[in-house]
Amino acid sequence: MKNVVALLIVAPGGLRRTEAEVLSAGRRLADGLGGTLTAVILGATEASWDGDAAAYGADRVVHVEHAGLAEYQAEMMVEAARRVCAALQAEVCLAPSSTYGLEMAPVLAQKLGAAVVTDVIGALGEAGQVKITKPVYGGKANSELIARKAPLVLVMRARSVAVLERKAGAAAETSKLEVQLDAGLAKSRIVERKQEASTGVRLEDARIIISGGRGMGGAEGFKVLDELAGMLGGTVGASRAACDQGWVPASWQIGQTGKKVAPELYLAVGISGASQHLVGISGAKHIVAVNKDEKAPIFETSEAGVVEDYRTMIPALIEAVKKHRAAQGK
Amino acid sequence: MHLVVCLKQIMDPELPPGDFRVDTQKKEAVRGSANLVISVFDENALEVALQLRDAAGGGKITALCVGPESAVDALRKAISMRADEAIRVREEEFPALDAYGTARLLAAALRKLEPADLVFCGREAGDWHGAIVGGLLAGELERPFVSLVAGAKRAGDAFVLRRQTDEGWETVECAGPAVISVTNDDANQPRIPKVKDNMMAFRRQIPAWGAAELGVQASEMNGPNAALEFASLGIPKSERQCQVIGGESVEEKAARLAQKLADLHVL
Amino acid sequence: MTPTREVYFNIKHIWVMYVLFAASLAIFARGWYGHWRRWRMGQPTERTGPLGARLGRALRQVFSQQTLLKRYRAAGIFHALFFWGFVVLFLATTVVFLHEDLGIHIMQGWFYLVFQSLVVDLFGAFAILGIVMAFGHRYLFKAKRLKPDTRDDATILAVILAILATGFVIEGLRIELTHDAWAAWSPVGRAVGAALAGGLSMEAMRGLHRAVWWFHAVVVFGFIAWMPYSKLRHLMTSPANIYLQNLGTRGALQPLDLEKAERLGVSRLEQFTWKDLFDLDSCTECGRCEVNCPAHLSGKPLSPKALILDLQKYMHGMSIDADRAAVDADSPSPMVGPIIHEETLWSCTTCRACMEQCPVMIEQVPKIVDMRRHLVMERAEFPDDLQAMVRSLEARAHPYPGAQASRTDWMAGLKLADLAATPDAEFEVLLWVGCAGALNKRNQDVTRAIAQVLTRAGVKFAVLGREEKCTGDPARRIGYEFLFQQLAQQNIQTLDRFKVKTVVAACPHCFHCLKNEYPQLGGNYTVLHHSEFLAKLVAEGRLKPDGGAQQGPVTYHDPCYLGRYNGVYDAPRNLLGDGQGAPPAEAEMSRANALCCGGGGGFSFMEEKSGTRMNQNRAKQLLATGAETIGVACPFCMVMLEDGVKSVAGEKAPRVLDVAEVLEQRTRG
Repeated sequence: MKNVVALLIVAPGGLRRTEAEVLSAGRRLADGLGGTLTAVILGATEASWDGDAAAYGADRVVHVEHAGLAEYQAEMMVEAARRVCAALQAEVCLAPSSTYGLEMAPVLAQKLGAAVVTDVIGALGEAGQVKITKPVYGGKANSELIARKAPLVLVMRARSVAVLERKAGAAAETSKLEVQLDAGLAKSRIVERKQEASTGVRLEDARIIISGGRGMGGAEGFKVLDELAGMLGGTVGASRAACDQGWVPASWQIGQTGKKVAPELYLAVGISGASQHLVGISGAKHIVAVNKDEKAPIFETSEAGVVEDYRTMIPALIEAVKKHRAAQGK
Repeated sequence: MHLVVCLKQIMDPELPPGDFRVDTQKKEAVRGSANLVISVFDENALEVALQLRDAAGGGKITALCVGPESAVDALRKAISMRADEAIRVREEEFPALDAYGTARLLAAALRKLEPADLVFCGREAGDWHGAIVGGLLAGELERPFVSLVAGAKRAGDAFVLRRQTDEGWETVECAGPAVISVTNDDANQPRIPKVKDNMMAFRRQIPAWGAAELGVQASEMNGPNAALEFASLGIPKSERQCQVIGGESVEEKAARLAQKLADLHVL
Repeated sequence: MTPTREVYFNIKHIWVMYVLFAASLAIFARGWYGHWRRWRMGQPTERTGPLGARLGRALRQVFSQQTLLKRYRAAGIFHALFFWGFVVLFLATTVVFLHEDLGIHIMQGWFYLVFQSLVVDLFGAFAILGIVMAFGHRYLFKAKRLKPDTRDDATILAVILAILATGFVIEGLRIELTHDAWAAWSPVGRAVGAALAGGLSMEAMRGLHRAVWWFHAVVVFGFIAWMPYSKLRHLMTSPANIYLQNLGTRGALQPLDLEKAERLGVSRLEQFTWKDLFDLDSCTECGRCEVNCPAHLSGKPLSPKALILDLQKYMHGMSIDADRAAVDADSPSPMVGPIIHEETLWSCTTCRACMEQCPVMIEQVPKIVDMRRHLVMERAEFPDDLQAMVRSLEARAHPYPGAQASRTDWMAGLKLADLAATPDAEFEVLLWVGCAGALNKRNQDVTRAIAQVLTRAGVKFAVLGREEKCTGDPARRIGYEFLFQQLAQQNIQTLDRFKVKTVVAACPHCFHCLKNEYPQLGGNYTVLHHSEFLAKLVAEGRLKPDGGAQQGPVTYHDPCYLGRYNGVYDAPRNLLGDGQGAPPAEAEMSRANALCCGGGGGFSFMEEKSGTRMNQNRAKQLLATGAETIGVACPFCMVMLEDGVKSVAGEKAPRVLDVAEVLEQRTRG
């Protein structure tokens, strides 16, 4: 296995962290296997993506262009990806960890006759085989799988891949691939898109995340988190328990089945720290917990913690931050 | 309208970490005192199907499970929530199934059933978190696949699906028949069955289909995923040391926490 | 001459009185017949026998007025005054009836003088005193529990006062007009007569006597006729309700036969038992239930009084004809929802304060649970928090969704083994840890303390560990009888498998359930709460606690399911020590009157969505004692009160310790 393909689905704007992760993982894999990394860009032309793909380690960049790919459409995308993978004789195909990437991966694998593994936190190329690490049982265990046969479709877990340093000016052989797609393939269409970010930046991109859990006791509790997040320039997230209760939108959910995040600071408030939640924050640099239960498992994962009811603690913290900033003359 | 919901019975994913053990030889979790439950997202899927049927004022829901004898309980639970029919595919006839094998068995059962307008799966199973059977099944059936659906409505022959994306929400209109995977949302929290439905379900006989009924060869079900070598299964260790920030008063704790945040360069 | 008096002195056309009396009796009978028909709508239940035991108990309780006198003493006293006044006046009227109408001449001689004159005179005066006090209580001091005042309330008091006052006027005028030789035996009547005679001629007195006599008669007959149509009905229904009281195990909810029951719980009035319906007509609107209800006191949409009165009003508004069934058939539940709101039912902590306080033994809690049973089992509609709890009970047999601990975590470092590990171990008692004691971090400490103390006392005890499941109490209290029975049956199997004889339960809710409700399903064990067992060990000298100086001044909070439900008040207090040998300070509302912490009936698993916090209300009462240690004996109280005390008192909050933790500290030496 030498031929590694990173699938990128173009979205408006520049290449984002999700794509940088796919490329970084692909680069490492290609290096381990002694092979090459081809970035396959599906969708409308965004010129900046070529250079970016090269900067994150692609040896080759292939544009797949077709009017039907201007916007994500599952059947068209899968078919285009299938053709390009076949044309490139892709042996390992990495799909992005986005909604679309995860949706395409199994369908594409089925069409390619490929083994498929998602939510991978480690993919190591070695002696023609790929060693895959995938957490299972809600993060309570890790499994190791070894793939010896191509083709293989992999989806890395979001925010689990250390992004390579961007090599500005790196060049790659760029080509275009015209594909003929029958418009009749499309069986679905997106009729409406709605952004529903919590306060501030996207959770996946946030530098600071203030997150609330079951211990918040209700939707009102999130208001005070919102206030703190506003002050710190952070984004509010939540555990599954809080989302299922309807206190906050499901799109705020962080964990095994929610967003995977990698902020500088993850402040867990009223979150007990079930393994399914910890899965989503394993990429966080600093985890700090506020919980009134001193024995909550979240403290085992945190580098600092305060045993206190958030109802009194967070307002006090807001005041303390104000004072601190005043003292610093900010 | 015929809706088919694919369910998986799994070991209780909320088993406390202290009780969680793995058998490193068999490479699976030791069940111990843990209960078997329906994988959570499959319950969300069933709930979406129930809401769709109720809103349409009619239709049939079949719960389908590839599982061992014990999976009858999961299917009875589905019946108690008011699925109309339930079928178990006898997993015991198909040892060491891979995800392809599961998808192919589901496809075989679907071909034997009255044609389905919409097939539901959970977004991923709460044990192995594969998140692939739904897509593989769609591929096997050559049907469109829409993932991470939170709610569904009928619009003529098509379905209007509200699905979660990285940014928020999308409304997808999809021609039936189709396969969808369902994610959790506060609008699809599984209902609690009424007691009389519970008792009715308890007495329900659940038909089981094997290779003979499905017209398949047990040895031919697996796909490329069976070629992956399952090298090991282990419990990762965490060794973070937590610094407890104390203080005489809340204000003092808050001041110290603020200082800590400043030290971490996040203030 | 034999002392007596002429019954119809100065009165003509006595037949008119008999006609009026007959008419009033007819109206009276018609009213009661209507009630009787309504009660008969209810479902059968056995509440009438055994006659002797019930009658003896009821007579004792009614005539002693003990249910009224145990609290709100002033109100109890004035009620006792006019209760006894009316009893005596009723007897006197009976004497007149025997003497005049049946010709049994007993109203003469010493009996006439002592009873019919003096006793009646004095009790009549007492009754007037009582009524005056009642007026003052209601309108001068404006007792909160009597709100809202209705026109009926005022009319009833006025009518009673009028009957009593006119009685004395009639008696006084008769004494004056007849120059009664035995007037001294009727001191109050004589005084009234003397006062009236001062300004009136004989003729005027004669006319006045006649007029007042007829007025008195008309008011009395009106009173009788009105009785079944007003709150006055309690004159008959309250004593009867006391006769019909539940003689079964206190606080044990009635089990449902889930296989046979056509419906689960109560959604329509006629699905209550006839006794439940009788309860509704027994209410005196005294409001004792309301002012002791933790839900009401914290501003939740529940008042036990309003609940009973709303149902009563609904029942009275029903016409018991075929057409009612037709109207109601349109709605799946004409009562639960429109008449009794769901939020009302979900505000009850099942603390039983209402039932403890009710002087006429109305059973509010079972009615609430019956309606919850309908909501949970028939409609599957109940608060989200409780749904999460139910799901957890179903999947994991404990009510804590998201719990990360396992049932044996608390045993770490204690050198204990559960029965699963050592199935053949011999043991004196089984320690029933409970889900809170195993899974809630704070209460794990309590469980450890109990285990340590038992070990110190040399008690051979066992624990079920992972084999223990929730007793089903939270399921049962929220009305999920089906789930309760499933859990209970599984536990009974386990207990029987290990041949358990004696259980020491570390949670009053488990304790009550195991002790009083498991026998319904065939689980019979000797069950003690840990405070009882530990107090016994101390009494037997197996534990020798020191004075407990480290606690400082202590107070104690009675858990509802230990105190009110099971009458255990002293054992836990005996485990507390303040180093001075003083008993624990008693908070405002304690023992049987203790205010609930807000953790029962499912509330430990639910957010309080309206009003103030029940736990803070209770914490304030406990803090007012100035104690440095607040003793508790229930894991729910522990969580509720630790939180409540901290919220109210902040950092200076006293310690909240389980009595077992205190005993553990006292037996370290």
